[in-house]
Amino acid sequence: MICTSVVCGKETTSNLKCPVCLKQGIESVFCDQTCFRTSWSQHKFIHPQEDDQPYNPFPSFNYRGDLRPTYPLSARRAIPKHIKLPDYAKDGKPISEIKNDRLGKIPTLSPKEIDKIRKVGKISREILDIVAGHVKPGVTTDELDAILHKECIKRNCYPSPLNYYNFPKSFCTSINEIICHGIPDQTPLKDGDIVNLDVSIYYLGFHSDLNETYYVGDKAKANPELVRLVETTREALDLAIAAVKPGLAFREIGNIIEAHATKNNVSVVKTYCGHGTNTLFHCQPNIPHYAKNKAIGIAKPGMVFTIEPMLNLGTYKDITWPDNWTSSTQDGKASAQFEHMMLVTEDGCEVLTARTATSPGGPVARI
Amino acid sequence: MSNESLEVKHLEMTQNLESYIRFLKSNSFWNDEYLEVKQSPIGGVGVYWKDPKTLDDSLIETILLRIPKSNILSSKNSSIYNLLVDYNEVSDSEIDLTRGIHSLIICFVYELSFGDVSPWSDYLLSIDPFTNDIDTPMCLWDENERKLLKNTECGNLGMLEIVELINFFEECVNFANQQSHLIAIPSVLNINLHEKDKPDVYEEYKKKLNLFGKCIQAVVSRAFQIDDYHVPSLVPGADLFNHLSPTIVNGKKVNRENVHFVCDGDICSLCGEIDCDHEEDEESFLEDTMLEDTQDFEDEIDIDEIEVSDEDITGYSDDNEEDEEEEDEEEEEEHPEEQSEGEEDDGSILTDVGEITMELIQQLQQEEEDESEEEDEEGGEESDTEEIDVEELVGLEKELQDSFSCVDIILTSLPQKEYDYEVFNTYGNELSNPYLLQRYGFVSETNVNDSVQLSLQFKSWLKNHKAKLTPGKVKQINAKLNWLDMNFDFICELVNEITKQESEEDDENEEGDDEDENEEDEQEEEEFPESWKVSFKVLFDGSISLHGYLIMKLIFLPFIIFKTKIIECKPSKTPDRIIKYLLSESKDDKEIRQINQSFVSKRLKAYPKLSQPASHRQSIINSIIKQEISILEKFSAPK
Repeated sequence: MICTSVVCGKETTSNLKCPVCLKQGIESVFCDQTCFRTSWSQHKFIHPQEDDQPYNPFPSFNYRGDLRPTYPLSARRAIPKHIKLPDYAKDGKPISEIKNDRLGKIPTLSPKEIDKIRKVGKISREILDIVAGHVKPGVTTDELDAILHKECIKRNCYPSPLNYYNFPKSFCTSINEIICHGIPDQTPLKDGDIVNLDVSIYYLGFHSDLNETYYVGDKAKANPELVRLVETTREALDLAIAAVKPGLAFREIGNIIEAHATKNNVSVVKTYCGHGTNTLFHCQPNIPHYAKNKAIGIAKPGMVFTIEPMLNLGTYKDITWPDNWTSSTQDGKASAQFEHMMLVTEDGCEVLTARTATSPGGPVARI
Repeated sequence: MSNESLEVKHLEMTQNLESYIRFLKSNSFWNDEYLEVKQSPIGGVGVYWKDPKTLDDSLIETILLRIPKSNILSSKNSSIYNLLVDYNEVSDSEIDLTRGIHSLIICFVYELSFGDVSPWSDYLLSIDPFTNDIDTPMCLWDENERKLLKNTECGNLGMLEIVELINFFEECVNFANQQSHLIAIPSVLNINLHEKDKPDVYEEYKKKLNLFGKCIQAVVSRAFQIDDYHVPSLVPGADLFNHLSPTIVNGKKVNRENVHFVCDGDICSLCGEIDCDHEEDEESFLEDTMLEDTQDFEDEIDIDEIEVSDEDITGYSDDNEEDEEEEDEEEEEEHPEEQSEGEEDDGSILTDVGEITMELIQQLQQEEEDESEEEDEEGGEESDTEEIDVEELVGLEKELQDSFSCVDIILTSLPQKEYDYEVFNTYGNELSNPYLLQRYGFVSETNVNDSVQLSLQFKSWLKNHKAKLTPGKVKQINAKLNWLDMNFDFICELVNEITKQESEEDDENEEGDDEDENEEDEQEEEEFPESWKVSFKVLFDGSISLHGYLIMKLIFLPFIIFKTKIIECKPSKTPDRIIKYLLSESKDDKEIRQINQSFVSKRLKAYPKLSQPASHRQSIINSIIKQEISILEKFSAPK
């Protein structure tokens, strides 16, 4: 058995089980009481309330929009033994990433490595499309997480977000005013929502990262504000991608995105950035999406990175929920995001996570 | 007053002040409640205290500028840094374009060439080296000007050598060419090195080299050491402050700047973060290489192989038997090793495999509730609203909250009416005029840090001296100087200690007013002379440097004494022995002084005749020569 503590994750022969989980028919094993104690603050979120009703775990928090977390979370989903784990899977600490941080080198991949990451990109698109096919009013984000997890396992992929700095689920689901990093829970999607699905997988030693925002039901597509936001974001990403080629200063990307955002009267989130992706989930280059940024680096063939603008209807300012992940707009107005992972080629770039003819979602006309 | 003002260096920045201030407002906290930047009557701009009526001691330590490290222009923040890293991996040049001032200069050249697109463009407008009146480094001055400086300290310190600059320039040109498929070559680096033999290309080459020199000067004169990660950097705002050199009051050096840099330098040199996992590796790596280095450094001359003749012994009676005995005493205080044997493993209680009971869970729940209540209470009393604000700040405001990731300039002494309430920084209270000129392009009328080397004179004297000696004697002198070479850092420390003690004694005799200041000074890193060869000099007050004194004493010290008393004594005794034999007065001193006087006279003769200055450069040259002559004359003056 593997210790349930998200900061341990070691094999254990211990028989120490959480009694609350046992009542639910879940076997949560801990090495010892220390492991139980140190992970309690996170572990408790999978426990139901006494009345068994869904609940808001942070009732005193000043939420900025209508969305609330709906707990308990489902138990952490298991990873079969044969799947290769990234270094943080056990204890949550991406040590190789931390060591590589800010050393000034931006890696370029060899043709062999490029073949691999191209494959990984394609699979991640496949998975996102399958999950996105289930987006409809009534489905909970946790149900989407279960689908995503199963599809990853089926393809021998590790869902990169799982336990990355102790993130509890296998991907991120961000509804309406949530900018990014929403945790899948018991919240059902409603007609009129927008939801972003952010998929990252680890396979063949490489990470792939992409996301899209989807309209839920028909009501959202009829909301001119939401359509303006979502389509502007989609276009901003496309415009940025069109500029990627060897010699591009990464700081230029933000200028392109913000220009398009401003033209469409939406704002650009400053706190979260695009990033390099390869054997590390997040690495250099750092790609801010706002204008006049000071991003370091010039693009060269063989580099792989993401661009993932987050645009808001209201303020660009963000605030993080007490779960330490979910990022909400400060004014509660909607936020949309799109992300692709691309490879810089000799004369431009190749989008490794490109949509296919059958991908769900896609642009709708402005109203 | 007018005389004093010559010591003030006003950065040349007549234009673009507005865009500069705009940059500061969107990239830093600039305390314009108290500060104002205005044209100085002497030219250029300076930072002035807005309203002298507000000046009050309680303002000491007020933050005048705070800028996030991510907004300073360091090479690591520059757009092209990854290209420099890649280039460095394949380049076999000795010049490392990823580090130090070389790296900053090439990044500056590129950021400048990016024009409006550079995020520092508003700041860079103020230091355009191509339009403003920035001079080149001395080594690029006209031949006749360099000739005048040849026998000054500028020449002695190698500041007229052009080779390094040319190597650097050509390395930058190489880099630019290799990146030309990615980024346009900045005009100043756009030259065909392969054809520089052709006359017209050569002319162009000279022109660009000169422009490049201006870039170097523009950067060097503004660069600040920030921390181990970002050194050195251009710090917008910080370079608005002009420099004021220290002065001497009652025989004591007094610093006069009004502000200090404050920044958390205790960060990882690899990534710039406070808590990271880089340094451990780095340290063990350093330890390894250091060990190797010391192994290479074995003595080349075996002291025991050198013969000692009778003559060496005679004429040097000594009464040192007593301290011979002392040697046996004391010694070896054992370090009481801390012997904690894994007792911290108190996990024994926790590892007991019991059961997780519902009681435990309730207890954990209770603990958590208590904690959050405590937090609520604490917060409710005072900082509640504040904390929430901090969390909601985004961008610059948020960065400015985190003092660890910022550079501050704080007020350390009040600006004075004498200078029209201008707020001064110091570009280095230890810098002599040649260094001021090299780095900042100006000199101080009277610079207490100035000194004049006698190394060349010593060297040629030594050559003559040796020629008169037997091979055995020469070998002895060589052995002594070799020993000096090996132990020079140690000797410098010793000399520093002595000097410090003396100045502290002086301090005690005077009012102990500025004790704090002195303490701070000591914390400043002491720079040792590069080698003993350049440490032989006449100091500002006309005295010979202790190092120089020691060198002469060493030469005349009988070899047997050197060998038995200094080389072969217990290491713990060495400092006392050096002081006794090499730094204390003895009967040789008169002879040594005569020799030194001959050095001084020779140096004085080597200066060119001063002519009426026809240019700015010439008046700088005159000023340097005058100062050196006056120092040398102080030595010759009867005491």
